[in-house]
Parts: sequence; C-alpha cells; structure tokens
Amino acid sequence: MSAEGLSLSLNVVVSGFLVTFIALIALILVITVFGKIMTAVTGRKDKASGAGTPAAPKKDAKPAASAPQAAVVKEEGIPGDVIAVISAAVAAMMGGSGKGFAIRSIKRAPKTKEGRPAWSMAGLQQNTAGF
Amino acid sequence: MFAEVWATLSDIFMNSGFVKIFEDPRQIIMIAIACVLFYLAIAKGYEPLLLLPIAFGMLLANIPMANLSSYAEPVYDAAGNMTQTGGLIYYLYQGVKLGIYPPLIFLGIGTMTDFGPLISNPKSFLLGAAAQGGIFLTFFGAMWLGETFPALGFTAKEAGAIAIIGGADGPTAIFVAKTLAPALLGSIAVAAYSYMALVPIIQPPIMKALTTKKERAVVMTQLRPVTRIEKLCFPVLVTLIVSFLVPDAAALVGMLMLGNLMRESGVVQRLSNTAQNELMNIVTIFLGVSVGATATADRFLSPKTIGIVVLGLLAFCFGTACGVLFGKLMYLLTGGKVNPLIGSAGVSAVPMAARVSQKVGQKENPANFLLMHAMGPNVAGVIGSAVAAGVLLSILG
Repeated sequence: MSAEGLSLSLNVVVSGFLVTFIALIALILVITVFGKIMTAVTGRKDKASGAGTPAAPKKDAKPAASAPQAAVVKEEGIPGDVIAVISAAVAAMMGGSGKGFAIRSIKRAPKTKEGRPAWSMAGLQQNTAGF
Repeated sequence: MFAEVWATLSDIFMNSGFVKIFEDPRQIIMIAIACVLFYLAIAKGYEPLLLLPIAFGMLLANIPMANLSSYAEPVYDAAGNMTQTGGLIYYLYQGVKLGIYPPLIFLGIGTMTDFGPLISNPKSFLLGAAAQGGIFLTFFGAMWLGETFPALGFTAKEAGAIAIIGGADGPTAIFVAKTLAPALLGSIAVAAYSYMALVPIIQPPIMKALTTKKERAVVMTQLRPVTRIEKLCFPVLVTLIVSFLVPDAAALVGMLMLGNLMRESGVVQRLSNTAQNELMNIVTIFLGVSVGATATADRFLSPKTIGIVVLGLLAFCFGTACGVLFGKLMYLLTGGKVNPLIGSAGVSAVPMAARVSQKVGQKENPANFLLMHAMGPNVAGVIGSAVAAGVLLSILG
C-alpha cells in the first residue's frame, strides 16, 4: 500500500475507533451516574412509604377456627391472589365440580439443576421459543 | 393499408424491450439477479421487507426503454425548459439522494426499540463500540484491495462506503453510501441486507471458534429494573452527547431518539403508532424500490461489485469477532460474570444478532437466557454504527 493510502487508512481506523469509544464511554458515564441517582431516589421513596406499613404475616400455618376445612399451609411471601390462581388451576385440571380433593399446602418448587424452578423454566421457554 | 399496419407494428416491435435488450445483454443478467433475489426473499425469507422491493426496483431499472432507473433524470433544453420529465423512480430516489429516508426509518426503529436492557447495563455500550471494529478494519482492507487490484480501484470515499456494511445496519449503510459513493449504492445496499439476513449463518461459527464451552455457558445475573424517568431522559441525553461529539451522526441518532421518546413518553401514542407502522412501511417501499433501481447493469456488473460482496462479508466477520473478543475481555475483567456471546450482538442487525447470541448460548446451557442481555449491545450497536457513520462522513465526506 502507498504511504499516502496507509496514512489515511491508519487515520480513519485509529480516529474512528477512538471517537466511537469516546462517544459511547461518555454515554456510559452519564447513564451510570443518572442510574445511581435514580436508584438512590427511588430507594429513599420506597423506605419512606414502607415505614408506615405493617410487617407481612409470617406463616399462617394454623387453620382459622371458623374455617370449615383446614386452611392451606403456604410458604411465606406467597400472596393470596397467587393461591387463588393455583387453586383454580388445580380445580381446572382435576375437572368436575371441584369437589373430592383439597389443597393442603403450597410451597415453592425446588430449583432444577439448571438453576431455576421448573415452572419458571417452562414460562421462560414458552416466552422465548419464538426467538 | 396492409403495408402501413405492418410498418407500424414492425416499428413498435423494433422499439420494444424484446429487441432493445440485445443492445445491452447485461440487462438480462440483471433481471436474472433480480429473480434470484425474489427467490431469496420469498422462498427463503431473507429480509423480505426490503429485499423484495429492492429486487423489484432492480428489475424495473433494467427494463429497456422504461426509463425507470434511479438515474432517469429530467431532460432540459438550452433555454432551461424541461423537454422530458424524469422517471417515476428518479423522483422517489430523491429521498435517498437527499438523505431523507434513512433517518425516517430510524424514527420508526426508535418507536419500536426498548433501550431498557442498555440503560440497565450501560457497559453494553462498550460491546456496541467494539463491534464497530468491523467497519474500520474493512476500510483498511478496501483501501489495500483497491491499491493491490487496480481493476477495483476503490477510492477512499468508496472504501468508507463499503466499510459501513460492517455496521450491519441498512439505513446507516445507505445514508453513508449516498454521500460517499452514490454509484455503488445499489451494490452496497444489496450486500448489506443480504448479509444481515445471513447473520444466523455467518456469526455462530465465529462465536464458537473464539469462545470456550465454559465461557459460552456463563449465566448472567438478572438486569435491574429501569425507572420511567431514566427511559425518558435516555433519548435526550444520547442525542445531546452524540450530536455534540459527532454532528454528522445527528440526523440518524436524533431521529432514532425522537422515535424512542415518542414511545416512552406515552403521550403521543398516535404519532408513535404512525411512525412504526404506516410511515415506516411507506418509507420502506420507497427506499427499497429506489435503492434497487440504482442497480443498473452498467453500474452493478463491474469488478467493484465482487469486491463489495467479499469486503461486506469480511466486515460482518470482523465486526462479530471484535464484539466477541471484547466480550471475552469483559468476561476476564468481571471474573466470569459476562457471557462473551453477547458481544456478537454489538454489530446491530436488531434483533437478529441478539437472537443468535440467545440460540448459541442455549446450545451450551438450555437454562441460559441471554436474549435480554444481548439486546443491550444490540441496540448499542445501532447507536455505535451511527456514530461510526458520522466519523466516516466527517473524515471522508
């Protein structure tokens, strides 16, 4: 390659790389700083709003006295609407009028060897199959 | 009477394309190439939204006497009066020539892009920058090839226009080529879109060759959620920073970010819908047909086209390799927290390149979901290739 061509090529390669990296590194810095500020602000807001709320119930393993059947033993942190959905799914799978079976306990499925619970894996597989 | 009718019919036939095509038989080859592109678009599904109109534009431009190439300018007499209007596609082509269509396509892309994964992990920008290495290394290659093989004779501007194929971004390639090498626009656009469609075939062997099984199996931690304020400020910040640094990239990046702000703001849903549907589709038709119609036989069937096809492939390979190698560097620096496979997505080609990272990663570990992690470098690559285009235009334009 001629000296002129080599000089121009090196100029484009070096300055092109440098400017592209500088522009994107500048964006990284600005977005990182902005992200940290936003995380701090939202964290403070969450703390402020969480201070007045009562602590979540631990484990309602005991059946309610007035309940006709034993209440479901559920793991801590599973909200009521999730229990309702799981119960509905079980009833749909069992068929019939929903009689003849009872849900005794609900607990999270253990992680599989891939590092995720089986249902989580199934959901991810379903949602990303198209890709 | 019979003689007159015969003379008229004979005159019509002699002036028809069936006769005129033999004055330049290369047009037959161009029509055959257009048919091959139809096959690839329709039967193989290779980027059909653009390849099909490009192929049809190519077909129209090579019909003798039809005056439908992008270069069929109006004819003026000495007094400046128009004696013949330009062809239909000549007028559509003005949107390419004046640099209107590519930024409008970017507007639509902006309304369809979620920059959340990039905002959540800004380090992805580095992978988007590294993968632009394909552009600059190909520029070097084009300059060398042009000097070594005088039949190719690539000028510095042409080398820049060819190199941008490595950005794996059609509108950016067209935006640069229409300024630096308008005569090569057709070949560059066809090469760029063809290779983008071939990303799932080109990238995996390079990704596998440059990474170990252990690296490919890395499971990355979940991305943090991004607030709405961050998503709203991102387009404004990117526009300001990139446009201040590389003003030549402002048209592309500005329109991309306008589209994104329209999406994220949620207050101009109608405009956002129009930009990503009707406007995008209309501009895609005009862009495809008029770019295809630049591929006339005299311009397309030249040794330069072969050079562009070879260099375009190299550009994609270099870009992928640079991204993966930078991913490996990040893997080492973070103590194995970054899967190097997401680096290949930095070449743009949204979302195809991110899908490839996901698929190659899942082959090693079926429970590994790299898609969202790869979307970060993928959309960073769009910004990176626009910056690289701005750099090329500012140095060579």
